[in-house]
Amino acid sequence: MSDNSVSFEFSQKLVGVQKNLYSFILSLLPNRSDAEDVLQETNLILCQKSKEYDPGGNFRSWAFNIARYQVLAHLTKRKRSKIYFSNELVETLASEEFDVHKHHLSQRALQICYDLLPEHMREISRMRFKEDRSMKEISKALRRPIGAISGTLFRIRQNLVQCVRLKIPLLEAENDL
Amino acid sequence: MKPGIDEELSRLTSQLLDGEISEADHKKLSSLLAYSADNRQTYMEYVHLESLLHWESGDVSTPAVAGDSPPKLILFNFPFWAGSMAAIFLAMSAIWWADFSTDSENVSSAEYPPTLGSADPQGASLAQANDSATSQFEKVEQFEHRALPYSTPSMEEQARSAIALLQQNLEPSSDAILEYFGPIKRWNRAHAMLTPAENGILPASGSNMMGFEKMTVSVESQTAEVEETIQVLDVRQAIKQTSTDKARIFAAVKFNQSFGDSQEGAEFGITLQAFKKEEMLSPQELVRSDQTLSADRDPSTWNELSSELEIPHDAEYVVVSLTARKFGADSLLANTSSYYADDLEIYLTFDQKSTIGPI
Repeated sequence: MSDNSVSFEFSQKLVGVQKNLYSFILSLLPNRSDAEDVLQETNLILCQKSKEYDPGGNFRSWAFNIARYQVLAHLTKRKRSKIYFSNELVETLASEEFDVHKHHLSQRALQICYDLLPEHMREISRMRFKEDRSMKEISKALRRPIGAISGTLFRIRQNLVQCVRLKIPLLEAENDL
Repeated sequence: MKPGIDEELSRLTSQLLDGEISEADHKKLSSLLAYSADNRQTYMEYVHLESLLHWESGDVSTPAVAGDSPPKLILFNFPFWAGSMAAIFLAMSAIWWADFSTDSENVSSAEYPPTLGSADPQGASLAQANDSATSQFEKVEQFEHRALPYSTPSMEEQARSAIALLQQNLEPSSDAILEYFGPIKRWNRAHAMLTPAENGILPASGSNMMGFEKMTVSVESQTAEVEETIQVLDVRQAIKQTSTDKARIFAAVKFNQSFGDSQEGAEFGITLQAFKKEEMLSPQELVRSDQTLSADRDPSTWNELSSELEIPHDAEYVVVSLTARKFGADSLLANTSSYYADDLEIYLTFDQKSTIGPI
């Protein structure tokens, strides 16, 4: 039996990187269920390799690198049944800079922007993002065609992205005060 | 980037995130992403926001910095550590997020144009958003101390749904069956969990045992848990027939786990709850009993646990649930093992003389 116990410092770092790690994985594997599976697999490997980690090194880069390999391994297993990005595109996306500061500001901005959504958009958002209901389930619950739900979700995301883009500089300015 | 491309890229990304993209559109999206760094930047914006929406909605864990405080348990599947200001902020944010649907009811739809990009993106709504930035986070603080009992919505939802079925005499979904034992009507989904010997575990008796689903792992609180609502008993008729208030339920079950990378055995539990369900209202829990045991890691032995509950005279339904939990760093490896239950036996006694069971 292998010794998979991790130090308190290691678990702190693992905890601290979770949200960024999930975003990173989702960008390469844009399917919620797959991304959550890969996140768990990545956490497991990180724990198993905790003894190999150099405390002076960049934990985030190390974790992202392992996650990247896990995504590629996942793609190899699943590629036949679903629509996925090519390995080349995954590598290209993985090499994009991950701005941790912007990610954090986006979270704050999102909390504000979300509250400004009109009620009908919040209802669909709640079903899709909070309750993780499928498009089919939402369509049935609201008695609207899937295409209409898809269109509303597109507008919700578009609104939120545009609002967050405008909000981030304002939050940065607040931080500077 | 050209507005037309931005629009198309956003639409395709949204369809991709909903699993609604066609093969042709997927190819188009891949080409757009391979073609330009700007396109990849836009795509990343959408996906990162999507991940935050998932995250804040409680289905995946939120990062926090571990501290000295014990885990803080809140509504979500994934409880938080609140050992630092950052952790407290995040925990509050997440609680706020859970409440956003009710707290934001007062925001008029007129305050937010259907598409910000096309309708005055820097107008009144965003000015208001800016002004309210601080108050928004002040609003978060009022939920700081709303720690709720540790429970997963899925288990509650299953029980609620089963009670509604029993109350309305409806047919259950394919993963559950209705059975009758004298005056007791039972919603039972044990059979949906049945599995033959696997992962080095032999059933305690017979040829099948119940296999738990994978545990939900919380990295920040270092807990992993799975809860299964096994049975819901409609005791309305039986209780009516009793002449005294003496009604009891007794349940016994055995647990086991397969070998895995974790260092310790799981904590297994059995929960008995009595509910009353009034028309149009959610079921109201009257009493409950939680019994747990720390199991060994030997797959050749089964650990037995029992629990008993006095059923109040106004109770209408009794819910039987099983749980398996892991704590500490070990919880991160929880799903390297599988968890099982077998020989679940339930007895109901009325007036200390008539007994129904084992069922």
